[in-house]
Amino acid sequence: MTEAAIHADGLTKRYGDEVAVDDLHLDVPAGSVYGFLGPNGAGKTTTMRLLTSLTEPTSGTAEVAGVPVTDRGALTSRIGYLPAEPPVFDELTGWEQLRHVARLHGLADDEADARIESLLERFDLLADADRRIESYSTGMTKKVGVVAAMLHDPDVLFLDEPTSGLDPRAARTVRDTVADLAAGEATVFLSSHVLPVVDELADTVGVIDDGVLVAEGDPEDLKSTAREGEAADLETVFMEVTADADAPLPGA
Amino acid sequence: MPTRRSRARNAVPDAGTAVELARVDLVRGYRWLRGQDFWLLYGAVSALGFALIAWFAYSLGHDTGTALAAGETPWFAAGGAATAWSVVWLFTVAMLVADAVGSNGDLDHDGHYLTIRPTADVVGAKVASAAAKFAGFVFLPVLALYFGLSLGLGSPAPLVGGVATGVVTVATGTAVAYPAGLALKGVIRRSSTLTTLKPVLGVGVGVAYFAVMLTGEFTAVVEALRPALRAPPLGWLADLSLVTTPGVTPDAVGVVGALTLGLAVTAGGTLLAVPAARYAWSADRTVSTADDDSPTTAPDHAVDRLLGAVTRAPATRGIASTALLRVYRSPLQLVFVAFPLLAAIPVGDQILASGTVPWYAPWLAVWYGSWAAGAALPLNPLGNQGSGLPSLLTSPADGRHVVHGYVAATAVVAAPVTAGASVLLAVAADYATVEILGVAVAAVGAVLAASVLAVGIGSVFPRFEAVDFAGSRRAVPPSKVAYGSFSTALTATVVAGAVVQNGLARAVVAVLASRTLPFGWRVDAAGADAAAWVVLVAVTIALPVAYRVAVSRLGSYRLS
Repeated sequence: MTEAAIHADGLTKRYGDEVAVDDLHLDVPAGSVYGFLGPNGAGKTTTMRLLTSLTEPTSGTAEVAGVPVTDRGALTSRIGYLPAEPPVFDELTGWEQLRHVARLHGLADDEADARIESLLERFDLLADADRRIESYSTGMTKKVGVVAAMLHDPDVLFLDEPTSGLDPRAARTVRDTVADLAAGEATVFLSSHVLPVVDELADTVGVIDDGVLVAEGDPEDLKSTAREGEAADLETVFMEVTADADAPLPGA
Repeated sequence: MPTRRSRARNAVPDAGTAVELARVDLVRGYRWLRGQDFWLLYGAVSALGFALIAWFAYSLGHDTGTALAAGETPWFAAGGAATAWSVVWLFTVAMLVADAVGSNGDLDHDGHYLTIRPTADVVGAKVASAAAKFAGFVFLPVLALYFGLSLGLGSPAPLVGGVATGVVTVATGTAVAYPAGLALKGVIRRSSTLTTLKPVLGVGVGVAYFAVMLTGEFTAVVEALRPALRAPPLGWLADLSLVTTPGVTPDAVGVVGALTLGLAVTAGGTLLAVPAARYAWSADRTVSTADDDSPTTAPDHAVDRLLGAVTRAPATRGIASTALLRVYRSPLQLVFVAFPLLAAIPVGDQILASGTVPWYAPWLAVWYGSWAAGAALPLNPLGNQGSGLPSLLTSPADGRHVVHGYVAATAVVAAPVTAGASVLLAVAADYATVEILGVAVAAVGAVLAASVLAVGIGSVFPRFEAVDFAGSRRAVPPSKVAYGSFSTALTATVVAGAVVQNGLARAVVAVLASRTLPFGWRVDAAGADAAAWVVLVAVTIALPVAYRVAVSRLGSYRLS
C-alpha cells in the first residue's frame, strides 16, 4: 500500500458560527496528483491553508509528508505552496524574488541561482528576470509564483489555481511540470477551476462544496457514475455534485 | 467625416454628463476616504489647522466689520482684501496644478469612459470634481471671514459678496490650473528624464512649501509681491468681495471685471483643458530600452555584500536585503516616518539664523534616527510582507531570522547615518569629547535597541491594511497601537539617555517634571537623574522580552 502524502482526519475549521471546512477526511498517496474542485467560497483555500499550517484547525488532525500540520517547523521544508494570488513583492525583479524565497528556505545564493536560472529558462522567463515584477503581466507573475513554490524541491506541492492567467504555452509548461513532479516522488495537491487541467493531470479528484467533500474518486469513475449516467466530462460531474449539497457521493 | 456638430461635441463638455460623472467621482472619493484611517487622521490634524485659520479669518472679519460700523477704514477694506484674495487664488491654482499633475489628473477606467462619452465630457467632469473638492478649502475661511464681517456690521449683506468671490476664485482657479497641470503631465510622460525626476521634484516642492510656511518666509514673500497682488486682474476679486459690504465703495470696473473675466476664464480654461487632457492621456509612457539586449544574470547588489558581512543565515540576509531593496525602490513606505522631519525645519532655521547649534540638537537627531529606524520597517514585520506573507510562513525561516533580518537592515543603514548626524551636531554644539563619544554610542545603541523594541511591539500589534497613495501606489503603515506604544517608549528612553548624559537636559527635565506633577510635587536634578536610570534599566529589561516575544509571535503566527 502506498504511504499517504496527505492525510486528514476530521479536519474542521470554523470562523465563529460559519463552518469553512467540515469534517474533512483525505488520503492522498505519495507521488500522485489530487485535483481539488469546488465552487467559489466552498472551502478550497481554507483547506490548503490548513494543510500548509497557515491556519490552525478548529478540530481534527492532518499530516503532510508524515509531519503533523501543527508542527510548522518540520513541515515547511517538506511543502511548497502557491496561493491564488502569487506571493511576490512588486518592487523586486523576478530573479530577486526567487532568490529571496530561496534564502528563506536556507539555500545558499550560488546553489539557488543555478536552480533559479534553470527554472526561469524552463518557464521562458529568463529574459525578463531582471525586470521588476510590477511590470510583469498576470501570467508572468503567476510563473514566478509557480517557480518559487517548487524552488526547494518539496515533497508535497500545493498549487491554488496555477494556470489561471497563463497563456496556452505557459499553461502547458505548468501542466508538464506538474506531470513531471508526479512522475517522480512529489505529490501535487492541485486546486483549479480549469476542469480540463484537472481532468488531464489528476489521479484522484475531490469536490468540496460548503466545506463538505461531496465527491471523491478517480476522474473516470466519477464521470461514469454521475447521476444521469451519461456524464462525459468533469464539468458535468462538478455541476451535479455541487448543485445540491445533500446529493449522495457518486458511487456511494 | 467630422461635422461641425461632432467637432463641437468633441470640444465642448456636456454639462449634464460632466456633473453626473463628477458626482460619481466625488462619491467614490468619499467612500474611499472613509476606509483610509491614515488619511482620516491626517485630515483631522489638518482640520485643526483649518479651524485656526477660520478663527483668525472670523476675528479679522469681525474687527473689520466693527471698524467699518464705527466709520473707520480698516486694513482689510483699504487694500488688505486684495492681497488676501490674490493669495487665496494663487494658492488654489498651485494646489490644483499639483492635483492635475498627480493621480487625480489620471482617468480611472479610461477604456470604459472614453469609449462611452466624448473626451470633453470626461474632462468637464474632472474639472468640476476638482473644483468641488477644493471649494471646501476656500469656502471655510471665506465664510468665516465674511460671517464675522456681517456680525461686526450687523448686516448679512457682506456674505453675498464673499460667496460670489469664492465661487469665482474656485471656478477660475480650477479652469486655469487644470489645463496647465494636464499639459505638464503630458510633457512629463513624454520625457523619460522628467518621469524619473517627478518624485524628486515633488518632494522638493513639498519641502520648499513647508520650509516657506514654517520659517515665516511666507509673510516676506507676500510682502515682496504685494504691489502685483493688489493690481488687476487679481485685485478685482477684492472689489467683488466687498461690493455688498456697507461702508465700502469698491471700484465698479473691478466688480464688473471680476465677473466678466471670471466667466470668460472659466469657460476658456475648461475648453483648453480638453486638448490638454488628450495630450496627457494619450501619451505613451516612456520605456527604457537601455539593457534590452544584455544577457540576464544573477542580481549583484552592494547591500547584499554588506549584509553578507553582518549576517550568517541566508534567511536573515533574505529578510534584510528584501526589506532594504523594497524601501529603496518604493520610498513611499518612508512617508510614515517623514512627518516629524517637518518639526526639524524651524530648528534648522534657528541654527541658520543664530549661527549656533542648540544643545539638544544631537539628542534630537538620536531620537529621530532611532525612532525612524524602528518605525520604518521593524514596527510592522508581518504587515510589511504583504501578499508575500504565505511565502515566509511556509518557509523554514523562523522568528529569529525575521527579527535578526530587520535589525540587520536598520543597523547597516540607520545606525551609521544617525551616529554621523548626531556626532556632527554634537561637535557643532561644542560638546566635550566624552559627551561626543556618549552621543555616538547612544546613537548606535538607540537604533539597535529601537529596532528590537519595534519588532517586538509590531509583532504583537500587526497591521495588514494598506494606505493608498498617488496612482496605484500603496504602503502598509504600522498599527496605531504599535505606533503609539513604540513612540512613547522610545521617547522616554532617549530623554532618559539625554538626562544621564547631559547636565542641562537634567535641569530642563527636572523643571518640566516639577511643573507637570500634581499636588505640588517637585523633582530636582538628582531626582530626574534617578528616574532616568530607572527608565534605562526598564528598557534594558524590556529589550530581551521584546526579542523573545517577537521570535515567538513571528514563528507561530497563523493567518485568520
